[in-house]
Amino acid sequence: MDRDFDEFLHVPARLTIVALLAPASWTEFGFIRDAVGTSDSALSKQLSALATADYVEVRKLPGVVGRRTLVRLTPHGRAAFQAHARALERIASAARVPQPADAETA
Amino acid sequence: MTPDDARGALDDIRRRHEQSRAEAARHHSSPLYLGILALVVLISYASFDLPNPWNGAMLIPVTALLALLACVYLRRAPVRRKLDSGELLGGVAAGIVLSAVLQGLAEIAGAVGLPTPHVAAAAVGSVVCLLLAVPVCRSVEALARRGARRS
Repeated sequence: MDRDFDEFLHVPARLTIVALLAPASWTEFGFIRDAVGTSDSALSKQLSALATADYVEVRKLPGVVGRRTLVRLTPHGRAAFQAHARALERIASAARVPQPADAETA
Repeated sequence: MTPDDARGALDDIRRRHEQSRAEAARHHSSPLYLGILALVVLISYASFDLPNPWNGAMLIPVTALLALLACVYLRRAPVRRKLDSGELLGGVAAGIVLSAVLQGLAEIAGAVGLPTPHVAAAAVGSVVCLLLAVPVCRSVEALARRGARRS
């Protein structure tokens, strides 16, 4: 397995959350919940796991209509996600590169 | 983890990136935000028709107030993105072009003999901005998506 491959991050729910956060500076909890199509409690659980691993930062702000919860990737989380995506690229491209063993059998 | 699994995961990552970008673009091209921006153009430029010493005096306070409203609106976006250098340069270029167009319109309105040439130019400019904003935002977003896919 590629050394940059992150088993913790590759859990589908976590990878989806981190992929949604990557292009943004801050993202609202409600948007992530609707985009992923999950419940508040399931998303909170995944975010807690990601926050404990220092992949995301969660901030609660007072708003006009209730509290707003915002989430962002930490620099460590962003670096881990980029490394993981590069590892996936390498694994995906490995199928396209003819292996020496294939050349011998052909 | 097979290459097909990895390709599937990468496709999902790209789809989620586009979902976030689309949400940010949708918020930035919403009627409320575009209305605020059009109002900035209209009020600040139209104030040049006020009699002295108020000629152009509304430019700074009104622009500052409406820019503040725009900032508050942007901070309430479900997906906040920092503008990249290309988007910033595009914004500055659009501002320069808009100023030149407004000045040209005001001179034409003055030559025709309208009593308030800046109000007329600002009104035309605001309507044109409102009409062009959504297709321009969509084109910029499509270009950004194409660039992101290539990188």
